[in-house]
Amino acid sequence: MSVTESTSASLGAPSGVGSRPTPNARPDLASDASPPPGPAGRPAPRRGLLRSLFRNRKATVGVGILLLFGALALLAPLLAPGDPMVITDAGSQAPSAEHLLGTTAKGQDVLALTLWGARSSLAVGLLVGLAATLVGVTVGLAAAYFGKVTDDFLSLVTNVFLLLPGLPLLVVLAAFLPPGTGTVIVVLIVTGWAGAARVLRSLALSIRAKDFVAAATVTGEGPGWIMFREILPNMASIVMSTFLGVVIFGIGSQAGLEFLGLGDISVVSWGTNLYWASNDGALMVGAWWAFLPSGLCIALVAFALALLNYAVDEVTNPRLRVPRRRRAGVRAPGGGTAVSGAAEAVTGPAGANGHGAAPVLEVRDLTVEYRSENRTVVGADRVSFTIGEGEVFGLAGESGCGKSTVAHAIMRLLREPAVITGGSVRFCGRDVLAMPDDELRSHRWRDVAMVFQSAMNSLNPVMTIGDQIVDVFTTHERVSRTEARRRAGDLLELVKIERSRLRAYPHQLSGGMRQRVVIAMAVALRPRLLIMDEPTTALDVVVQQEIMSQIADLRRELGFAVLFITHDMSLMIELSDRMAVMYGGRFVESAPAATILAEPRHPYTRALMNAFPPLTGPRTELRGLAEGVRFTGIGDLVEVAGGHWVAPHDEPHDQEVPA
Amino acid sequence: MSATTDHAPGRAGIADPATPVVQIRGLVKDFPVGGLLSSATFRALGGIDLDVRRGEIMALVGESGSGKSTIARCLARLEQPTSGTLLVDGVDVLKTEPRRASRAYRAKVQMVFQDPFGSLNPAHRVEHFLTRALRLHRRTASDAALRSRLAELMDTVDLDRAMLDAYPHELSGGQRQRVAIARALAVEPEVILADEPTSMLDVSVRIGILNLMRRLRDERGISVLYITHDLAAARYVADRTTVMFAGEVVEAGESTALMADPAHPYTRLLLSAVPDPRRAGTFDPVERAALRAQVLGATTCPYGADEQCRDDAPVQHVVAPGWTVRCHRFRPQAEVARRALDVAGTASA
Repeated sequence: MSVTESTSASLGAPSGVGSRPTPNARPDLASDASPPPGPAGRPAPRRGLLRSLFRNRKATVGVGILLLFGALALLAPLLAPGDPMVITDAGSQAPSAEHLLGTTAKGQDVLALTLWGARSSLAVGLLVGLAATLVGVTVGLAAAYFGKVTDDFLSLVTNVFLLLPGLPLLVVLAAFLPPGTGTVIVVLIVTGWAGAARVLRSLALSIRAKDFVAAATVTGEGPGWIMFREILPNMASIVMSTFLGVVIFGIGSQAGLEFLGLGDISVVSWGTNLYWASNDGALMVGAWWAFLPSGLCIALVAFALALLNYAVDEVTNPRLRVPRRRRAGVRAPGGGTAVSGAAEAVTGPAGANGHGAAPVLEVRDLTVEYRSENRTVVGADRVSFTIGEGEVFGLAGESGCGKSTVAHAIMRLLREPAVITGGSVRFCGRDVLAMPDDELRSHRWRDVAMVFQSAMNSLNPVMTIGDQIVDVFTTHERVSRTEARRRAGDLLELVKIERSRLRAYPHQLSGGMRQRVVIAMAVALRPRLLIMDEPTTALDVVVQQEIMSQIADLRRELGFAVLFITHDMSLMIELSDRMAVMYGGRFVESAPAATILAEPRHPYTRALMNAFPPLTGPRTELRGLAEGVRFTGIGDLVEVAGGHWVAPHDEPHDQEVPA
Repeated sequence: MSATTDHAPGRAGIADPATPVVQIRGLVKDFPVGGLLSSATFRALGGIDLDVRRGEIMALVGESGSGKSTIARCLARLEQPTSGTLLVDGVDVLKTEPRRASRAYRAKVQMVFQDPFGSLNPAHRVEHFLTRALRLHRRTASDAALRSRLAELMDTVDLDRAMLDAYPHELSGGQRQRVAIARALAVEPEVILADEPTSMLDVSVRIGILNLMRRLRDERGISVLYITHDLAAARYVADRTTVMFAGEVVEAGESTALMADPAHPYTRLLLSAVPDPRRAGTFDPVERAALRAQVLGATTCPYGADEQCRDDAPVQHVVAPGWTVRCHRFRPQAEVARRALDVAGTASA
């Protein structure tokens, strides 16, 4: 498991709903649709690890077993019935009241042997774990930090040690070195560190590339500090599971070596217990009590360590502990009729679309909630608007304000844990929320199409552009492949890409061209509404301008309406007929774009506008929102002038940024 | 606040206010491309000349891949330049400390990274970042002095002092970026390299970070090399602007004058693409198409598909004092120069 895995997973559920992984955690927004504040995209901070482990049942059971064995080992002198090395006449006795676990062939008490054996086995395991992990951490960190020649050399050594066949090496080394527990430990460290080093090196490499390492370098930190104080703390969970793995390896291998007679057979350990049991022919005479306790102990300790290891994984990788899900995504069809009926009375900018004609899209009191096990977050709160035939309606706001949630709700693309809990969405008079699945399938793309922010990366990399466009036609319409191919070519030319590019694969096109292909595919079936969710955010400004002017051309030609979502107010005002500003799931202002430009009323609208200073005119000081400022108690929109709706607002909590 | 006191006694008397704090000459950076055995390189920077004067904000604008971040990383000594000269306070640092930057150098040049979510180690508290910077550079003598300095730094960047105990993940993006700026300020640097410091932030708090940069320049005389792709932000905050394209500087000059009437076709193209509803009259689409063909045409040469450009490097023309452009197509016109001077005059007035 790698850091990236736990990273993507910790972004959590709402990003799966299509709102892009919000870079800005806004824990202060009461009705924020973004994931609850957490280690956004990073490994959990160290302090959380132990605390979370305490609450994990697997970890508690594992630790419990280990603590029990630790206590037994420590208290062996007190608990053991006599000295395990004392040889008596009472050989090969089955368990009895006198000898709870029986005796060996030489008359030693098995319980005493097992208890004393725990001392050696656990100590060796722990020592090997600590030492091999330490070597592995150091080598891994040094290789990752210094890179180049150091990395080449250390990686070579590591790989050589990994390639050496483990058990034969153990046997050879153990045979050459003088027998004794010390030898066993050395042998196990030599054979155990390389695996740890390789895992930790690749992890350290990925952390090495992070900005905070560069930032520490710029601050003036030296290599030692950066390796052990900046990189290492972020590896805590992997170091821990590596350590646990090596301990299992150590205990198991020690037992193996000693069973083969390669350890010091005069020392009492679980391994030597097995060796003697085997030597005395306990198996053949059916004296199961001679070997079963030690074998069981090894298995139990390994089980406990594995359990703990799994718990560490589970705690640091949230994907492994997905909460139980209810079936969700959309409320039961028809359930909202009453709600939408009541909504008719609600005033809002809904009726006032600039075009007068019957609206293409009519959203009334749309409410979406993100439900998790312990709390509910409102993603969209009684949102109402309409989009007229051929109109461009803009939805502005910052990450987490709910604008993507609204778009996804209109397409009914919301996935759990998001649930539409109220309101209605009508497309040309049809209730979208009540559509059965097959009608919904043809409704999407044919009536309403959507272009996502990173849509250009959603093209299938192993199919040509042409085949992908042809697929759109052949799956939605009954047309021949030749006809579909001809129309695909027309479509490409519509977005000013040469027909010959039908044969190109996505990677052969630039990002801007791919985005244009995606837009062409979206309008392929002549939808009446195109939803664009930050369609150019990932692109450079020159490309953005080209794509936007192309969309304007397409709109003139095909006459579709647009729901345009972005945080870029300048772009939105240039393109939209009417627009709304969203904050914390609510509309705070809605008006024709020109009105917003001329006289923005809501302080939040003004703050958004100020983020985009003018390119002409005098340079005057602009102000944004201060850190931590938030608006609460946002009321329903009130019409302040013809078509200009503003939500009444409290004074924001906190002052604005001092100039 | 002791920003103006000379805190590095070892420094020879080079604090001549007329010498630019950073002078970059002929900076070239090649990156290896292809596999292990390939010796092919990609030229990210093709001989950059750039000055950052004392107490000015210099914006470095260009699109992604134009090499603007590579300049900052070379200056921060995170990348080793292939060739060229970096003069900081007039000292040729690649000569005096060729392999690793000294701590004295770090004390002069600090950097703020683009992603405040990546540039603060999630394992440490806010206090840690500032304390380390102060301790490493011996900016505080006693614990009491440390505490008051920490409070002062938090005040400077408009953060609540209670946030010293917070972990990065408990802060919003804007708050994190302010912590990153406070860390840079802790060592009392002469120049801060700000690599797209607002592009990952919520738009409503971006202007606050830009205002903070302006304040640091005005009140402390700190120079900033502000790297951005946002021309409007560059115009808002920067005294001068340098435009980069494909690893070359194509135009440099006073921000408002340069953006009022750009001399280089690439700068014109870039400006024409920025959405600005307040701009009087939209850009002529015919002219834009011509510019595009000229700049991004058959070759990726910044100077167009002109034969002359491929054969020899374009001469640097001086449009007006402090305003240069590198382009074969540029023909010095008395009229252009006069207009530029007028704009520059009104802007500084």
